[in-house]
Amino acid sequence: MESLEALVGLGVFATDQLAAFGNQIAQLITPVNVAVLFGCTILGIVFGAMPGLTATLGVALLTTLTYGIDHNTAFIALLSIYVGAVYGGSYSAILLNIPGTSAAAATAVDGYPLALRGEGARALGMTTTASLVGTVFGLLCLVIIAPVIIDLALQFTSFEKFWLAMFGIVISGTLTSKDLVYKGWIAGLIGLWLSTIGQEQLQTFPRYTQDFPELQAGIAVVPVLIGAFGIPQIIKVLGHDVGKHVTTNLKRILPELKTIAKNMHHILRSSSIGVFIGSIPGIGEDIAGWVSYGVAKNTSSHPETFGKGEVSAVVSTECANNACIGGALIPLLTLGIPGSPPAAMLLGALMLHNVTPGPMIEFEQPGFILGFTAILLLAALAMWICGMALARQVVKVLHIPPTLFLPVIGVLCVIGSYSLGLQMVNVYLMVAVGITAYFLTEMEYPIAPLVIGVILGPMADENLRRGLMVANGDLSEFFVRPWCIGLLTIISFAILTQIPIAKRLQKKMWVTLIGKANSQRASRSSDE
Amino acid sequence: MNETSLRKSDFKTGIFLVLFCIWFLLITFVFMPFRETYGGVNNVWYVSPWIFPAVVLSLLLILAIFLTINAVKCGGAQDIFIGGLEKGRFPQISNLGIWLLGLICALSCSGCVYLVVKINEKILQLAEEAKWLADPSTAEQLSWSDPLAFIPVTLVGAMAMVTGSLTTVTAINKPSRAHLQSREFEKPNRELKTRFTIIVILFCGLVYILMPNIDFFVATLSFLTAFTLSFHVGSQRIARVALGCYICMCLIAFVIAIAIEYAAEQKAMRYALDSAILLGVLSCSIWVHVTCFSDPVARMKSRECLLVSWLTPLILVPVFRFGLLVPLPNEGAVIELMHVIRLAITLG
Repeated sequence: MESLEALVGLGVFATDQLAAFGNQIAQLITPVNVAVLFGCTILGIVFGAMPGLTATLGVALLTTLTYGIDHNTAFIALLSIYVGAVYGGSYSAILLNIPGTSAAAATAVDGYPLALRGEGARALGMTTTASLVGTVFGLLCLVIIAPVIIDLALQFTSFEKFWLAMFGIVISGTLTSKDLVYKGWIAGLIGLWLSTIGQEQLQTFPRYTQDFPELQAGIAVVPVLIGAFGIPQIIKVLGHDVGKHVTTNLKRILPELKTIAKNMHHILRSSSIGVFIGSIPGIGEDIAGWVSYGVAKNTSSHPETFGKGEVSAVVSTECANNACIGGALIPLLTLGIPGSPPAAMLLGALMLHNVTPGPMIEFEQPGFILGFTAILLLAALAMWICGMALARQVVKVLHIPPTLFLPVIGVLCVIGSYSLGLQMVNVYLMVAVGITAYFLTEMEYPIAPLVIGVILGPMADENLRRGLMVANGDLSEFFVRPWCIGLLTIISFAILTQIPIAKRLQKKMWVTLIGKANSQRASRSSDE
Repeated sequence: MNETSLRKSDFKTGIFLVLFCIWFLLITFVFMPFRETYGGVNNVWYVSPWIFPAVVLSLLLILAIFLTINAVKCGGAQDIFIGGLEKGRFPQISNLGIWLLGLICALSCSGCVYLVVKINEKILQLAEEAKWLADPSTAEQLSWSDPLAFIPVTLVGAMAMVTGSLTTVTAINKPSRAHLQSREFEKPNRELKTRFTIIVILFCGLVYILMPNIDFFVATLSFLTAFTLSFHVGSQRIARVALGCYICMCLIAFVIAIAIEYAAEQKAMRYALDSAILLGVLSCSIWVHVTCFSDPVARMKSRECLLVSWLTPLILVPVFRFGLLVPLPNEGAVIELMHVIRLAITLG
């Protein structure tokens, strides 16, 4: 009886939520919003398709333009360009073998051989549909998981919040570092230090301002983001000789239902992978794509076809990188920790519009997450429609050489950084951060932890001191609370597993385990 | 970047970060209130503004030391302190030795920090006493003034010497095989460096010189013209001339803008400067067009460059200024003209 009541209650709740969701969508559909939705989706696809332009840069540049407009319209613009850009990377990956964004790098492995076989249009059709399914799956997870995390996060006090910020930096530093793992942590700490510049929040003491009044307000996040992601990209692309692109003609783009049904298990698995990876702080769509590609290959009954034009590989990677969007929004909206670099940019945009993501979001802005999800759904649908209808036209954009459009992007970076605070110091900062970020990327330092450090720095600083104030200077409070222990364990595990001795032990353990398994298998076969 | 170059850059970055952390730790400990009263609030150590930066910088210092040690172990310090080493010429030092050296480095750094804090306490005491003898503001300034500021600088220099000499010893004693083997494959990528330098010059010119001093439209136009001509046309001669013109324009703008600061008719002078730079860009564009006339491919590309260079500010400036109502950094001759045109259109 009780279970029946619970079921009824759940049903009523689901109906209410669906009704609210429908209401949100109805409110959002206005002529202006629809025009912005389609315009920004196309812009996003073009951004993603053009080698050298990324989803993060697209969101960063658009953020500066949405400053003065209505919240809903601004978020429609930002989410549309985000979704469009993550999907758009597949165009150049499939047709040119040059991933438009790093998220589409894994798509190029099998997408380009398909294009060479004359199946480029089919591959694009499949990736478009897979991206739609991936995004919808991600937003469903966002709707289901976000309330649970918010309930948990409401129990967090200053002690947990401090560790949460450190967790974001350590995890993103550990997982994004290509070379030595502590380079990721160094990048994160540099970001944290940058965030301490300016008047601190508790006593308004000016830290490291060197008597420059412009630095009193601290370092603005958006110019740092624009500089960190925009300038290195321009230098990197123009630093090498850019060849001419040759594209193929496209035939039928609309995918066959039979092929979609055949790949449904790949779609669902990759979507889950995408959501999971997206929810880890700082890990972007590119890693989701590669992990999904690896899993698809390992679980395939014919792994030898991978790399030679396998449709399931293309579907898996595209599905995962788009599902990553929903995943990245989960920690962003519930904890205020961005799940990926574009989500970090989105966090900057939300703060510009006076929306503070975190556990209190549903109290401060009731129905915000549902509204955000509705926008994400609209963006996914617009992406699919644009992908199907305008693919042939978008491909033409690929003919524009980067030597022509990147200088324009440079100007947009400059004017974008200036227009936010109308201060030249933001532009100076953007260029300085951009050049430093270029050197750091060249030396294999990941940029995502640096940016996350700048974003999470104030949270860590304020909560560390607030926690100490509450505990009257007793540091042990940071180590005894249950959630603190949990977060500290994860942080310690992430750090300790990177120590050479631990790595050697891990290796030995695996060798022993595999050896045992092999010997057992051998003895079994000999018995048989 | 290959492994050797990476370790080499790690070594340089490590040393830089160690010095950076020590310097800012000094600033943190010396100039931020610890238990002193700030803004009428009685301070306790755990609310002090230095606590978080100190934690971050200390962690960064530890990681920077790790980075330096690892770079030294992998031969990243080889070319920096000694060149032309032969394999096996120097006796090798054990890993434990390197760790011990690192520990000594870290201890010496923290010792120096402690010393400076103590010295500073004394200085502050002296300054406090001096308040009774001299003007209070002078005494307050005394603790920040040049004769005393040299102490942390000297200490940082001393620490740099200690760290440098220790790592030199380590580097001499630890030749890297991988480094020696890969050295012959390492070739400096001049092309990449040149392109990087050009991009940096273009951006710095725009942001630090043109934008603060001349009309935003003209600044963007000259930046885009130089940028696209340098990279898109594919002719070294055109790239050199475009970049040369851009640098000249930047220098002229900088010098004249400083001179204008003291002029009586500032507005007219600024308009004249904007017009002169605009004329310079036009002359450069005409020269490029004439030069490329005989070559159809170059002509096409130069046209594309000029189209992008002119269209971008023509679209962006009105969108930001009149659409989004963003006041631009410097509104001179051209933007004023746009204002007049807009007024003429709206009024009649």
